[in-house]
Amino acid sequence: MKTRILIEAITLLVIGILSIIEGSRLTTQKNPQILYDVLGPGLYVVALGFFLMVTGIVHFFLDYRKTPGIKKVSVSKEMRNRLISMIVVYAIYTYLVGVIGYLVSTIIFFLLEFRIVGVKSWITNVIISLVAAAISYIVFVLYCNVAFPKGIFL
Amino acid sequence: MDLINGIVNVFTPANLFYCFLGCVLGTLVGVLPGLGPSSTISILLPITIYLDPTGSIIMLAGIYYGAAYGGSTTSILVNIPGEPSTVATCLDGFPMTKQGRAGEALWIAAVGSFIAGTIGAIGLTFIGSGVAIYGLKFGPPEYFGLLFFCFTSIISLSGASLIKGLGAALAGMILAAVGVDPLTATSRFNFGTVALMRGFELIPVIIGLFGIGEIFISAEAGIARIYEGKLGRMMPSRDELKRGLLASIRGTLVGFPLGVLPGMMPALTSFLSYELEKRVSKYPEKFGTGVIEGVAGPESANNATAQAAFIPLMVFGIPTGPTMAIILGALMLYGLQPGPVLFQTNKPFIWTVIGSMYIGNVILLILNLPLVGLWARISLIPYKYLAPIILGICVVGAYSPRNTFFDVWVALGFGILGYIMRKTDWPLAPLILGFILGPLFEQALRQSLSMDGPMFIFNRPISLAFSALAIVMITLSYKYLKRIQPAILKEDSDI
Repeated sequence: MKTRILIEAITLLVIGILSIIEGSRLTTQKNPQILYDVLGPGLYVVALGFFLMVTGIVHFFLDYRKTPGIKKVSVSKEMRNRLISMIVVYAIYTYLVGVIGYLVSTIIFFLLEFRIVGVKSWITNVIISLVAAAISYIVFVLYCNVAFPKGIFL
Repeated sequence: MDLINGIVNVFTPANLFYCFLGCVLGTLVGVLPGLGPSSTISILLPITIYLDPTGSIIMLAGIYYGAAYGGSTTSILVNIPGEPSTVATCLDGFPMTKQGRAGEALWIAAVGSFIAGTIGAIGLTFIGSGVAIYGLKFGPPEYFGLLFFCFTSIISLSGASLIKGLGAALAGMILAAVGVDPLTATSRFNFGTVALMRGFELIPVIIGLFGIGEIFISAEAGIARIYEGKLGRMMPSRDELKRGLLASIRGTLVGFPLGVLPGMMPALTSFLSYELEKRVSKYPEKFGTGVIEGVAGPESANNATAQAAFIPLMVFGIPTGPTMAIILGALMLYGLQPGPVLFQTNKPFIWTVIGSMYIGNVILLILNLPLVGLWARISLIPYKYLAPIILGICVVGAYSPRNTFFDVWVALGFGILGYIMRKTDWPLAPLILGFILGPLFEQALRQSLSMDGPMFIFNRPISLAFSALAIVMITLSYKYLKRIQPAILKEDSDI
């Protein structure tokens, strides 16, 4: 658990350092002819980065001692795999919509996601996937005019 | 007398139909994440040209305040805010659903929205111009003071660890700085990519952190249903009703006066109201675990803010946000120039539109209350059927505001971040608060410095008052946090 605090503090420090670097770059590029903005786009970001770094350091020193009391909750391998599969299917779906269109990719997305979260019967799976995809197509694409790319199908 | 004539005019079949249609459409776009009132009104604008001006403005106004009603439904039921203004409703609304009290949460949200909407309409009728003049006194230094004050709510949104809340809020402010700088159009944090130049859109960020993150957590935990058991009562008990109604009135008093300020977001007033409820509560440590005031206050505040936005629009022709700007455009399409003259030259039109707001709020209540039981049953649907559908809606919700798949990836990224933050006990609300307030705060700070120099706070009484209030709140909060921290830690260990 102490490692977790260390990772959290390092994450805050890294984001803080990135902000300071980006803010400094912008400060040096500030256009002196712009009179309506004395602060410029960089100093604000530098300040945020600095405060985040300080927060990271304080978090490390304050919480490092307290952590052993917190219980670690274990997650089964099956559940973790389920979560990873859901994320992978979501990512593939996001990519596929642009290639094969909203309707077909949504049917595939629902088929896989329902299967992953526990709908084991393929007949039930196919029926609810088709119905869910059709309803979302009618509501979002036909009625709400959400402009999805057509792809090679629909 | 003008108002009575206006209300009578609304009762013509055509006006009543447009009012009803606007309320239904507004509720629907509020329920569906990502489909905001501004995009719906934009889509409908070309159609309204063929309609009667009074009917079409009644409908567009109905969509606007109807969306404020509908946005709470998904926040309460599945932890996905339909609108940014309902993020604060998630904090206690979803825990209530998990306890089988979705009906009570939806009921108080609907009634609170009705109270706020009606008080807002009364305010628009009687004190509109007076409040609007005070709104015009707000310049960047005053906004800075107000936003500085708003940031004190990070303390109460941080839970057990203030340092984590502060870190999350700062990270949210940095994430909000990604994209084009609003004052000088300089690119920040784009690392050479075109996609990042547009920055992160608020809706995908919210959908990711709250909706997708929640699904990932539930999927990993193997939850069978959001609530397992028999649904509780649909209406709050007498004691809860009393507390909820009082919170609604307080929420309205927070949301209405602030709603007249240009650029004021309902999301901001709902967080302020949540903060206020926690402050006045006898059990602040229970907030976040399903407290009715935590739903009633923010819901009323965001509805009151939505209603109050009509005041500067009608009285001065100043739109306070994008949706109001589109409604202003619609008015101008009909050759109607909002402002004091409109009240003289187009009395029947203006009072019919104001009258429709009273009727619209009643329609929304009638529409929403009978649906409470039906909506509440969503919490009983097995998660294996619900989770993929919610994920599918999240994809559309993330994509639709800007029609770009970059936002769908952003939602996934923030979904994973939301999952990690939940697993490691980092509070989500301060991150969102920082993300929402960050750009406003930066703009107010930079403009104030350019206007009045580093001592700008001391030159403006309103700014000074808000800043002093914020410092007092921070000082008091230290003692307050010390008082409630043991209770929060106990709650956490109990969970």
